[in-house]
Amino acid sequence: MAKSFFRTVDRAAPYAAQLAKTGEEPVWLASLRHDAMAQFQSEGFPTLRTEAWKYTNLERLTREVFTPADGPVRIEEARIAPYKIDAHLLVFVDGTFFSGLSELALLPEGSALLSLGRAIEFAPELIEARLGHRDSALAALNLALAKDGAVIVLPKGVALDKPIHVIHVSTGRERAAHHLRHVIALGENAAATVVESYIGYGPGTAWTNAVTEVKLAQGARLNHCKWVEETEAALHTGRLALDLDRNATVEVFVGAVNSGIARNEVVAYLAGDGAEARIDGISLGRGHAHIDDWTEVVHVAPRTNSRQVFKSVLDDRSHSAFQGRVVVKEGAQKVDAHQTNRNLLLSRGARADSKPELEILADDVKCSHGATVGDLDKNSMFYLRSRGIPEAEARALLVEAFVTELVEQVSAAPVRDWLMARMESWLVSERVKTAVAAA
Amino acid sequence: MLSVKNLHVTVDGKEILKGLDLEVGAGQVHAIMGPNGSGKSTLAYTLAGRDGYVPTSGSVTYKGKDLLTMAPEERAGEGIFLAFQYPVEIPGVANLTFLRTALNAIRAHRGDKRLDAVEFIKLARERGKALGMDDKLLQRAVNVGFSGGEKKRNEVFQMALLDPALAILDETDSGLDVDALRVVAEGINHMRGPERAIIVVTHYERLLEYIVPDRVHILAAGRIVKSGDATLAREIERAGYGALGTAA
Repeated sequence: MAKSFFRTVDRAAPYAAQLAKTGEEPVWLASLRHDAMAQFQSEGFPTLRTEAWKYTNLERLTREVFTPADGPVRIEEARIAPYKIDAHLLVFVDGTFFSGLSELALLPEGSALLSLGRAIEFAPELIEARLGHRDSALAALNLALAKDGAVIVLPKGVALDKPIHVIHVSTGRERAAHHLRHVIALGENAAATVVESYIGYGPGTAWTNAVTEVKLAQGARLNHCKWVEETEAALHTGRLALDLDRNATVEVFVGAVNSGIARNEVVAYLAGDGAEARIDGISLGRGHAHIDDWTEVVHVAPRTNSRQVFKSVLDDRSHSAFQGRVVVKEGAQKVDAHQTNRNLLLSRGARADSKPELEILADDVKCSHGATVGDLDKNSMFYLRSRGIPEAEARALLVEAFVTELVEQVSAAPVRDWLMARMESWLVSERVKTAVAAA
Repeated sequence: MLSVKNLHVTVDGKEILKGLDLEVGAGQVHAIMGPNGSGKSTLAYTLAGRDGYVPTSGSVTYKGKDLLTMAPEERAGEGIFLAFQYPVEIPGVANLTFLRTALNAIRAHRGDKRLDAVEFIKLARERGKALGMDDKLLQRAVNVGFSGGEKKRNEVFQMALLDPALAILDETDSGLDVDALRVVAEGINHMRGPERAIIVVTHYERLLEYIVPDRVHILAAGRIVKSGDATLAREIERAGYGALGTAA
């Protein structure tokens, strides 16, 4: 790295010391962590000059040192009750698995559903070949420090009866860092629905840095939903890294509400012929929320398809960013790749940034992208009002429709209903706000 | 019921209506005809209260009230309905939800009780059937994926449901084949009654073969230049607007 003339503080340096505290672990893992930390030390925290981070300033994160929280924390069931669905449940609190609230049932033979902490201790062979994604500085730091997360392994042909729900609760401890590493591996033609939700309470500024690495074998199917609903003080950085073999399909839905900073990255490698990825996202912002979605879809194999639709609804002084990169590798013919980003600004102070990036090295492909930023459609508003619907109600109806239209596409019904319920409270308070403003 | 006096309306800083006068009484059907750009749609939008259609002078009195000061939703509550020339597609809002919200808003304005979902669906099915509305169109998002004819039918269906006192139909005949035109015209004729006034805005005489108007007005360059009975429409069809010496 080039040295600046002015002496700058090395924000990454203090994190090196945190590695030493990782304790007794298999040698391969210790070495992996060591390499990952070295990578983080060399790359450092991303800054606004980092192209992938041009819309998100991590100053709030880098001016302090965030330290992994010590020991398990007990929380009451009431903290997670509103978020629960009928699912196999793994609960994590401040970065550590909490078995007290988790609900794990016996799975079909050959399947595994457990915490990363236990896997490291009792079944390291389960994760050895599956752990390792560190394609970004923060993912590297995560790999170096993450001690817990969810491990989901399904053998060939297995489909689970209900979704797997991974809930992380941040208790809002000041300057606490929660590095979570989830590992999902689906065997040939296996199928699963996984929901990761990140919630939190308390006034402190805590940092959640979550990486999920997913490997889908031939014909495997994953419905994956990631939902971030932390506090306004919270900082969230996350990365979902997907590897798809031949004819594997993934449907991803990423949502974030009112967060201090929520950065969600989705990286999909369509490595096998016929692999398919649908990646959708919703950002709902109020107050000073900052929500940043960054995606990279790499079409490595021919006849691979991807479709992305990202939307944001922003009120007050909230800010959303979308950077979507689509890469079609040489020889990846007959590729279909589409990307749309639509942003609805409900106040003058709100802001949306959008930046598509296409890199196409094959000639027989269909690729498209489009972005819009604006207020509610005037024609639609007039149409509704001309039918007697008061302005405030018409606005609320259109905002809901903007969101609903996308959520309706989620194919796993329990997840779809759950998402609708999650958005409902945001939409209701938006409705109340609009009605008050109209009165 | 409706009295328009010396109405001037500006759109994007350009004067489109230049002193329009029109009197429509209860129970009457009036046709407004005119060449493209004469201000027909501007009149329709102005009566419905669309933003950007700025009345600069003149007055519009509806049931004794000043219409121009009312918001679009108030006008709808008072019984005004505009069937759009280009009905708007609204993804994510089911047609039924939209119509129930609209009907209940109007009922609330009138001081009637709200209809619950069951009562509403019963009414919607009944009105829809008369217009040959496919049940599927009720479930789908508003106008999304509707054919041109289905959209126009949906407009007339909304009119039947919302039961307006003054219906303004803006080029409802455009884009319809003969069969669809007949169904839509029947729907409109069905709405005729002593309490209701209907303004049919059209470029062609075709629709007026099915809906025979009490009065026909020719609009040109922002004013009504000629009025007459139903025979005037046929005259236009035969001789064109130019022959009447009305082209601006």
